Amino acid sequence: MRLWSYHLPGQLILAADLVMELPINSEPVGCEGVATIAVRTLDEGTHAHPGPEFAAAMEDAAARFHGLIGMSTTQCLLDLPYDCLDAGLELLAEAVSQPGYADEDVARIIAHRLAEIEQQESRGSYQASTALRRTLLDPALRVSRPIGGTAEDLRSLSAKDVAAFHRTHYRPQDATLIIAGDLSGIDTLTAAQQAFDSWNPSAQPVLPDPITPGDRRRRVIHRDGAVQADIRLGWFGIDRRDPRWAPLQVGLAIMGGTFNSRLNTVLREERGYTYGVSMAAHPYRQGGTIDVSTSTRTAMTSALLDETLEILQAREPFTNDEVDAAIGYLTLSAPLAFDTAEAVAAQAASIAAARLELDHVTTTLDNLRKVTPAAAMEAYTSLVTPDQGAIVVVGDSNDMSDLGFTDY
Amino acid sequence: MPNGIRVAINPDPWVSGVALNLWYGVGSVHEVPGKTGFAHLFEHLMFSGSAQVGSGEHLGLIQAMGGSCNATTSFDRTNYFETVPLGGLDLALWLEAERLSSLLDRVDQVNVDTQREVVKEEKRQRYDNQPYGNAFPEIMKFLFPAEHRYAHMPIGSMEDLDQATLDDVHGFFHRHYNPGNLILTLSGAIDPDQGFELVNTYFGEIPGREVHGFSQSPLVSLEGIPRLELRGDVPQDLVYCCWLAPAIADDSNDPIGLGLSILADSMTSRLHTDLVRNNIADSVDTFDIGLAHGNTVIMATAACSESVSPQIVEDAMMTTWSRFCEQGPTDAELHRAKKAEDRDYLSELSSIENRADHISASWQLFSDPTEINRHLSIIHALTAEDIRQQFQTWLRPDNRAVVTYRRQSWFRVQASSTPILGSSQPLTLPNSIRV
Repeated sequence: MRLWSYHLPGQLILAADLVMELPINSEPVGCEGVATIAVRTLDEGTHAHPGPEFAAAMEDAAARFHGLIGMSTTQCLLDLPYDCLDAGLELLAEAVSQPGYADEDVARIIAHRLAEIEQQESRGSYQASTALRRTLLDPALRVSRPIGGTAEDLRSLSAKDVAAFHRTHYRPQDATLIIAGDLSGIDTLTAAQQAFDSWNPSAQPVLPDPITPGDRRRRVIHRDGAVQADIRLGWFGIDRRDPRWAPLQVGLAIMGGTFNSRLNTVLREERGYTYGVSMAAHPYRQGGTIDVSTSTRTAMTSALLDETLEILQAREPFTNDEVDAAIGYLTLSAPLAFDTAEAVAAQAASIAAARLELDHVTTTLDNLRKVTPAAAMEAYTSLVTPDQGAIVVVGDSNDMSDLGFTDY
Repeated sequence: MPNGIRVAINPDPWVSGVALNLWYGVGSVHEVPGKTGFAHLFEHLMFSGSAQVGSGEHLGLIQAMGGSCNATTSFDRTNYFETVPLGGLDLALWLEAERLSSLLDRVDQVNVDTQREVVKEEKRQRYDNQPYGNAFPEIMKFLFPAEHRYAHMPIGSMEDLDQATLDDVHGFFHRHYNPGNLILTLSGAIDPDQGFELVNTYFGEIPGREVHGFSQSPLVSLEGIPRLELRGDVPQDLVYCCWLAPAIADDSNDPIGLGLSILADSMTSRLHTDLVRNNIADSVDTFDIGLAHGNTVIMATAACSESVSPQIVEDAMMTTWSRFCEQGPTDAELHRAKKAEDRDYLSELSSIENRADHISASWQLFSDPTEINRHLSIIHALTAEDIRQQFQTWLRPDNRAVVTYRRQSWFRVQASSTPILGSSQPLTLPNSIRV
């Protein structure tokens, strides 16, 4: 296990994140969602503090606990005052090494997850984002499906499955503990050693699946009575190790990452088609995706899509002014974005999860400052090919007959 | 300042940027019937340019120097905010002063028409196209009398937005966008003397105008447990219990807030223990909507577990609630809730954006920008009896209103049955529609 400490004077509430290597494709076939249930049930009781005693002990340490599942990691996050760090870390170590996983607790957390699935699927924006992932990525990949699992698999999960998953996959090897905040007078290494000393190593990890593209289709998903269409366009992309990462960031900021981006200026500020449009890259450990996300009143869907596809052609090369503004937006924001313990810990966790170098942020900022209009254009056009992208529209299909496509 | 602007500076030696926060004392509570949604539409127009600034340029300039910038409109105020590197403070202050002094030079019918459409898309995205999206607007309409200013939402109605004219924009600006109605806070890497001087440089010349005060009298507590049932194509039944309490500047607000956190904020809280752990509700929540004029609204909500009726959930919630009103919290509960409040409040204030916003808020609501320095001492001094008394006075079960949001189950049942081709089967739905 490694420890990364960040001393931030004045930040009296510390953020502690434990990032465990645990690719989502570790879930056994037929048990999708087990990683989510495993982390969500951690604070429902341990061997030493059964049932609500564990939550009470966390609250006595003034700590707030939160579990998070990523594509390649499971993360446990704590917020707590600086003088409660020892107690908080010991409870965190207890949760990850000896969770109780009582039958009734696991059953309740599964029931909550099932209700959550219904809530998520009732929202057009969620349907659009998940459908885009299913369309863009190879459907055989675990990451093409919802990370929290499907109702079908969750219904057959038992506490025994969850405990077995935990036994096999929760391990200190390759884990990173991040502690950020005002660390004056705090010896984080001793605190971490004391807390995690007895957590025993276990089997070798499963490697994350490399992601591969799906068969890129256009999809219309009918949502009865929807007054707006949720729209996504997507492309297969790159991860943060690709030399095109920095110029791509600049290109995407110009096209759809800022308020004055080409897409937002036309679609929102000139046409009034939408409340907003965004374009961003989503890196995985290897490979990634790029998407455009927006919504509009149903009758305007076709007009908005036509205009979006035309703008995405980027027929006018990026200008120096556009590139300067985008570089300013992406680089000068760093000191402002990293002024809290929570923000620093979250960035460090993202670096740990992607297994990037510790100086990744600094290197990326340096690379961003050097991006030229030509490099940004080249990175953008090499990845964003408007005619070949995936398109997903979720809305009332009865009012979108002029769309020009249904499903293919 | 002589023109009426109230300025607060909160220096922080540990950060590299400055947060600029402006609170104008205007929100949807200042809108009259037929002109709802105006304060919010106006917020959008504030980004459409002024005498020397083009449309969208304000946000573009701030973002290009790495800053962030946005605005929000609520019931009681409109809030504009920027966070910039120290070297960008002059520009941010100039941009804010520029739109306060010359917005009307630029606003035209085209801006109004475009932003009206953008706002209508925002309304669709946030409310009309969301499951339960009409719940909050319907609850406010139900709790307050029709003519009451809290009976409508800041987003307004499509009809009123359609009626908005350029003359309305001018009238609204003159009435509400006035130095005397503005609180401006800077938080971050700025020395107080330098900060006051900068604000004076950019805002000092803007003439003060008459400030139009606004107040509305508190309503009496609800009686007779009024009930409203909403139906929609939603995945889960929800129960909302609502109370009217004194507006947020009242002394009752802190003990009520701490009591609400003991009831639902943590895994050991009473409602979580009684409802969630017992599989009656999937989740529970309590909150204060935070209204400033006359009354605020306190809510307790629960998402019904599968096969548990809203009535059972409401009954279970009120059993727990009524015991809390009678007995108040235990010492252990009070101790934990205070520790959690320390953590959450300090965590909230750790960013300069939030801190600047809290300072503006406390000046507007408590007439004291330094209230944030005392907040935790006030919380630490609260006793179990303080909480019990306020719950007894304002939040007794008898004084609640109940809103339930039910699944339209008949729709689902019919939609899933297999149609039989070539035959005709008449059916009458529970709402009397014959199919």
